Amino acid sequence: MKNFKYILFIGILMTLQSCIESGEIQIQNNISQVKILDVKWGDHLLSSELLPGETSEQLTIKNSVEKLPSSQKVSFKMTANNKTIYLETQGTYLLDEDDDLLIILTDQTIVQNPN
Amino acid sequence: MKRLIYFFMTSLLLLACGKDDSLNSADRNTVSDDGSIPFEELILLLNIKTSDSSYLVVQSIDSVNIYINDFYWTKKNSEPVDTTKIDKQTIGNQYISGKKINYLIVADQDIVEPDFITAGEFAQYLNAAYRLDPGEYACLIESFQLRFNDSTSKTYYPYEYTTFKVEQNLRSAYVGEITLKID
Repeated sequence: MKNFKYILFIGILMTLQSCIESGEIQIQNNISQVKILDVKWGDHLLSSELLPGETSEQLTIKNSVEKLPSSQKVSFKMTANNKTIYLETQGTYLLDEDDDLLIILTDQTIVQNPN
Repeated sequence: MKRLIYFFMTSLLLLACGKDDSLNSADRNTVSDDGSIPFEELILLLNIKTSDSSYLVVQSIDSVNIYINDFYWTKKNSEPVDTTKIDKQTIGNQYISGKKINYLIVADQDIVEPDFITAGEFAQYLNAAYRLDPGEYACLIESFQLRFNDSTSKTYYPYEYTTFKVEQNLRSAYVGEITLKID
């Protein structure tokens, strides 16, 4: 019985630990007149496609997967008028444990093509 | 001697590997989604008819302002012509000929290139390209400039329309021969 209590206690602790050591991340496409595809924060796929004004689902990044705090660039493919270009943000976006990060890509976001 | 030949061969190989610098960075890194051949240029032949039905001889027709339907396409000079080889007469400050002389214009679309720093500028660039899907279009010669023998120049506004067809998967379209009349 005592052992069971210990196991239960450790289980609760582990559950709490896993809840705490993660961050939430979301991205919004506020760039005019373009669709963005394969939107990634570092290597983590946030959305496969976002129309102008659309926001991605919230993605949980666990500390076990990505050591938090972590600062990563956002990469995406911009497409319009049947043309596509790969872009990365010049700046990085910081996600820490417990964070609820919403990245908003706008017309003013500084980007570059690594080529 | 052998070393010199090796040096030349290596230089040629290195030159052949260079990037196409005629493209801006956004152009170089942009791909067309459907894999189709993108439409690139219009081919026009222009000739200038004077009031006495003879043809003007100039080195080139400059600043030809071209619109497709109601969309600005480009402003281009025609390819230069060696006027010394043309049988011509001098009338005032003009050379004229009884034979029609066509001036070639290869007109690719003139897209204003932004600085490509912000996402908005890239978006604007992708949206700026006016796609010519297969079909019939109107080509307007809004204006052009001529330089005469005495180095004076004059801008004309002929507002001359002609129609042309864009075919599927062709990178260029022949607009045709356009006669521009001047006084």
